[in-house]
Amino acid sequence: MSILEVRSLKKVYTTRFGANQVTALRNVNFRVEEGEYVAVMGESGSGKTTLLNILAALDRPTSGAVLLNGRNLAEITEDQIAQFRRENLGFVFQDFNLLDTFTLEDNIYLPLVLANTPYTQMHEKLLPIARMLGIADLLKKYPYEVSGGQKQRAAVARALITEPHLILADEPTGALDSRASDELLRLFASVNQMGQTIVMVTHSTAAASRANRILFIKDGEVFHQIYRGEDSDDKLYEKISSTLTILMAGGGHR
Amino acid sequence: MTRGFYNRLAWTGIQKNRQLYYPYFLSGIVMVMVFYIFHFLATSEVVHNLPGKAVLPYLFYIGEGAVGLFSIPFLFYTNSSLIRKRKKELGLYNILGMNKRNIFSVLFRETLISYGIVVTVGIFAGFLFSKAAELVLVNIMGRQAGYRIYVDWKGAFVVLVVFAVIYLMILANALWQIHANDPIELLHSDMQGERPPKSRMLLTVLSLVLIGAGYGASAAVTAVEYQLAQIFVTAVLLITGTFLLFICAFVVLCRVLQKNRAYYYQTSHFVTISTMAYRMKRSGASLAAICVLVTLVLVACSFSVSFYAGSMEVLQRTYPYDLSVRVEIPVEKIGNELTKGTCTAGYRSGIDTIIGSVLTDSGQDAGQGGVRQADGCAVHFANMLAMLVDGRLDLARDMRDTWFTPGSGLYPGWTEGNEEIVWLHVLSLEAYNRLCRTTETLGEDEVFVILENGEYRSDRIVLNDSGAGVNVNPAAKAVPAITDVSISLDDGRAKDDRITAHGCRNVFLVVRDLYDFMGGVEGSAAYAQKNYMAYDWEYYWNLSAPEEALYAVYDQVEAHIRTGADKTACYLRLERGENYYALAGAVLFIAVVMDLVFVAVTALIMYYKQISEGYEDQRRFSIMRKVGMTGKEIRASINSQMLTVFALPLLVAGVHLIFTSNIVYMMQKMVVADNKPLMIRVMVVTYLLFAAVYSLVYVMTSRTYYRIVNRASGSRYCGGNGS
Repeated sequence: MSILEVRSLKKVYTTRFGANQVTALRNVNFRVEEGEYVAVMGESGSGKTTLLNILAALDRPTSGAVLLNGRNLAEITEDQIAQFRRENLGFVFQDFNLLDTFTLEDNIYLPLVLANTPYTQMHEKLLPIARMLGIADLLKKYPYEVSGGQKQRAAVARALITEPHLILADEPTGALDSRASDELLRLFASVNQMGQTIVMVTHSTAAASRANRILFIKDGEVFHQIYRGEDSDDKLYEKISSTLTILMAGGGHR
Repeated sequence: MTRGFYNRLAWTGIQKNRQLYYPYFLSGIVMVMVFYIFHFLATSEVVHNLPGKAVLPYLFYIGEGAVGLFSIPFLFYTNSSLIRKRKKELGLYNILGMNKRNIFSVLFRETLISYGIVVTVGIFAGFLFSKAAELVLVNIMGRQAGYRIYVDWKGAFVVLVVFAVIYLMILANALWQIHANDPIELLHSDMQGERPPKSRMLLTVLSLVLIGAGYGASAAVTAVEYQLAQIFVTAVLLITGTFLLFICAFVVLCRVLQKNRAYYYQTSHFVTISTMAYRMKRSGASLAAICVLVTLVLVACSFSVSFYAGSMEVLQRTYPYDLSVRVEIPVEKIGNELTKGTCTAGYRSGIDTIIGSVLTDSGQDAGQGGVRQADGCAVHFANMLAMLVDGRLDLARDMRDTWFTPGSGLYPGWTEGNEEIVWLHVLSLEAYNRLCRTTETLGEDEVFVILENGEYRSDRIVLNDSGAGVNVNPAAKAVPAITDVSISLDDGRAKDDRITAHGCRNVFLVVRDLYDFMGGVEGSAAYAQKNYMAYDWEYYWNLSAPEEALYAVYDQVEAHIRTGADKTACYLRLERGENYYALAGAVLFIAVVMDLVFVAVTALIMYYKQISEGYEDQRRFSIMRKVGMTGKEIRASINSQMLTVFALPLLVAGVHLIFTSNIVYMMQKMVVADNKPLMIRVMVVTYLLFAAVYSLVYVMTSRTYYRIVNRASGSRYCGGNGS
């Protein structure tokens, strides 16, 4: 069974006075299998972020369905949705979204505290993750005291600590320099090796080339997808580049 | 063209920030209005015709000055919260190519517009409400007022000038704030990472020490008028302590709670405690300001209400008779005066004739404003200062050799060690029985000693240096107190130097024969020297008559007693009472108006606090939502935080009020009456009333906060790249 299934998803935004309608997603269909590492690519305005919001249950589709582990997100009530999100999804954002009032440690604990986990248990879970992410020494620091890459690794730790079924990453390298980006992508790859399913939205070819599969979205539809197969990262990078060139040139017309 | 452009820019600047600007205007308008009203009342003809015309205008001028002075920090505060929020916008102007000078000119126009609106609307509102204020004031004093409505042009002019100065200062401050920053900084001024608040243990301890010292100093106040410095110190201690408490102590508390893992890592505490530390750091000063203002309001309110409510009692106590006349008798003439009334017979017959004539007049014109019933009583007193040593009256002490110095103005108190200076009134048993309508008797060498607020504990009084004295009649404890005696009580005298005997206890000494007791002319002369003794003849009348008749009697009596060569004084309770009511009424009126202003200020600080908190928390709560906090949890957390933050000043103010109530009590005791239950009742009612108003303001302003926070943590996802 697929861990994530998206069926004919449609999202239409209505402007405030109902005069204009903007179709963000027209008809999106895809599946993500357990242990997959999927990158979603597309230009600004192609509907990537809308898609991610719907996957995260932060927004509701106009029509169509999202099934996580076979469960339809639309059927979860508003009260349960936060808990559902906490238990099943991990988030990594472009701007880290760490709370500046917490130390990194407390930031990472946040989802567990919300789930009423005792301190000793949280602490036990944190140590291996912090070591793996190389932030074990930084735990007592505040977000403003550490670099962007370190902040993002703390955010990854926060996403991992709940052992979610799916990690959703929204432009995770968007605010990082190339070295920090490389490091983060390496981390994602190794986390994925350990069996973690990841869906990452990006418009960075370098970031996408580390994934197993790349979905291209254009004008609110899945336009194309590439499987890694036996390709190396470099080979995949080339393939993505040429696909993007075609996409940009407006070729195909679907 | 550019001129018009800047005007338009300034105008849109105000329009776009109306959430911030409208309350700013409102606060300015309230200030201008109150300022104008006070000025109007200070110069109003109606007020000048009120009974308290001697003091009222000055009180209003003081009120006007206070409002003017208070507007400065207040408007500064509102303006700087406004500028802080607008820094980003101004930074953008700068980046888009406006230089600092252009920005200055936009700000100048905005200030000009603000000033124009505030002054125009404020004066207009002041004009509308000034008449209402006048009517309320006149009503408090139970008088009639005319209904002439007019604009106080001079007052309007004063308002224009004063507030022009204030707004110029505000503009200068705003310019200075902008000038100090470069554009990029301005642009990001609301996004700078905030350092975590430090746990400042030392300052916390200091704050508690200061507040404790303030409470101690307040409890030690025994006589307000002599300890103004101490009261000032109390205020400074409490204000400093309160500010430190709010800035440091609550952060420390949060930090301590954070150390306790079992407590801290719970869903309901986790977010609240950690955010609270920041919130207290940011809001500490504002909350402390709110707390101080609230305390001030409560103290002022408690005092003025109990002053007003107790004024009836104090009038009765100070002026027990409708009409009182006092003549000072020279010591050398006292012998003949006491036996034959040589000095006062003329006054007495004159006064009797006057009262009799009014009685006769009214007899012809029954029920038409004459004296219907008259009841007079004349008494001789020897009034002097004396010493209570270990509770025993000692007339042998030469007051010139003690720590007491007449005419030096203020005294630190009337008690030092085991000694207490009292204001002693010696009168004969015969006079006492007439005054109190009793038939007490005294044995040979016996006296009654009657203390105000207390019981005479010794069984003797000392009369000379060898320790000889007389016994106190054991019945002294049971004889009626002379509560209804003597207009001279509150006006102590030391020879020719008038001294204020406020706070000095009155003691009555009832003796068998006044002349003998005082040792004749010789003894009296000695007392006059060493105890600042003076003989007074006092003549009291209770007259049941309408106001006009009483005033007529008073005028005639006053004219009559002035014909003699002696030192005389004459009081009509009605006339004194009107002044008194006028004073009490005006104090109450001013206190209520000032309290309204303070409440408005508190509301405004709260409003701005809610707005800035809202923007600060917007991002935070949207993150929490994404990480998996339910809307319910977020709301619960917000509620508990906001409630704690805004309940704290009210609670601390309540504690302050309890521990400083001694000062209010002493003030009440000084000007009104010793009536603790009344004061406590007034305080409790004031506090509850204020708490209700405060909660209402909180509920109203918190809506703004929720609106701002919900804008982010609503159903919309607010990621960094809203593509």
